[in-house]
Amino acid sequence: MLCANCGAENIEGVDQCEACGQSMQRDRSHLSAIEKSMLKDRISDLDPREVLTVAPTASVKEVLNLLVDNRVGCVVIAESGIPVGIFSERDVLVKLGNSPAEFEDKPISDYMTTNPETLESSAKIAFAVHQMDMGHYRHLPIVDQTGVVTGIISVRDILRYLNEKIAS
Amino acid sequence: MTGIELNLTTEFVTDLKPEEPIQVDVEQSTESVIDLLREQKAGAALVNRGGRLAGIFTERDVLRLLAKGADLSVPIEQYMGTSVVYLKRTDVVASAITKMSEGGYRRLPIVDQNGNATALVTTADVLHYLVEHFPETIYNLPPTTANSVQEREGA
Repeated sequence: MLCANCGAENIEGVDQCEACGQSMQRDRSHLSAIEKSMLKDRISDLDPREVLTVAPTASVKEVLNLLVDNRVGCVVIAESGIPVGIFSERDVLVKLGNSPAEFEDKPISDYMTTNPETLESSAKIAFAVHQMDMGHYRHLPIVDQTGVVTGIISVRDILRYLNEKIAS
Repeated sequence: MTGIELNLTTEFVTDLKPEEPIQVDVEQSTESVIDLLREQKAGAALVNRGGRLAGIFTERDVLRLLAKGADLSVPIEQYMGTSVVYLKRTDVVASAITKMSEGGYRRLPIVDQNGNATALVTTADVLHYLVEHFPETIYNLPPTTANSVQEREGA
């Protein structure tokens, strides 16, 4: 008997999957194609984009130029590849004032959001949607098993995915 | 079609429960609009001329202006985006997703027949709608099943 959630083989009649702990009794036949896809597909299927990373010592000016030049909404602040913070255009609005002279030479570590939530690329898309909604995150850095950041997904990637599913 | 797909193609964009937008006039100073966005913790303001929607000013514009140290004392009209893609109240959720996805928009105003903006739909509204509409799918989920044991151990 295969688990509908993770595909592991289980003994007939068990209540919970031995591999992932999900209920084996749940009938998913009523779920729509989009729901089933979001349960099956993983972050890696979104083809996460390359992520811009900077050191905590990078200046605010440097980071603002990086965001503008690359037309992206956030950078990850990393030390030896491990994310220690994130800084987004929302932070530009909320945390910086209107006078660049007051902040542009300061280190980005003064303004970043520390300890950002991250996901591994094997996480299900449904889980990413839940995490983004709960935390009001627009971006989630993707890390490998050692915690090193390898990419980033945004709410736009989720919408693109949904749009493809609607179209098909 | 069943479940969420049925909702996406039959429910209206107003079912996304969009918030009332922040609305300003084209003649307001850019600095005062940025201050208003910061104060209200909002990511965008709709800019009206004579009560009709004329443009949108977002936090991405704030980033661009602060990065180049632009003069913020000038009217918002000089910096707003003017090619505003919008929705009608009678558009369905799926069409909002398509417009956002294909145009790369994070926010779409809902505009009435008189050209007045009545609401602002955001990508966060769409995510929340998804989570609300299929809680079983979303809530009862382990983050990853990468380490699943595919075979039973032992004899």
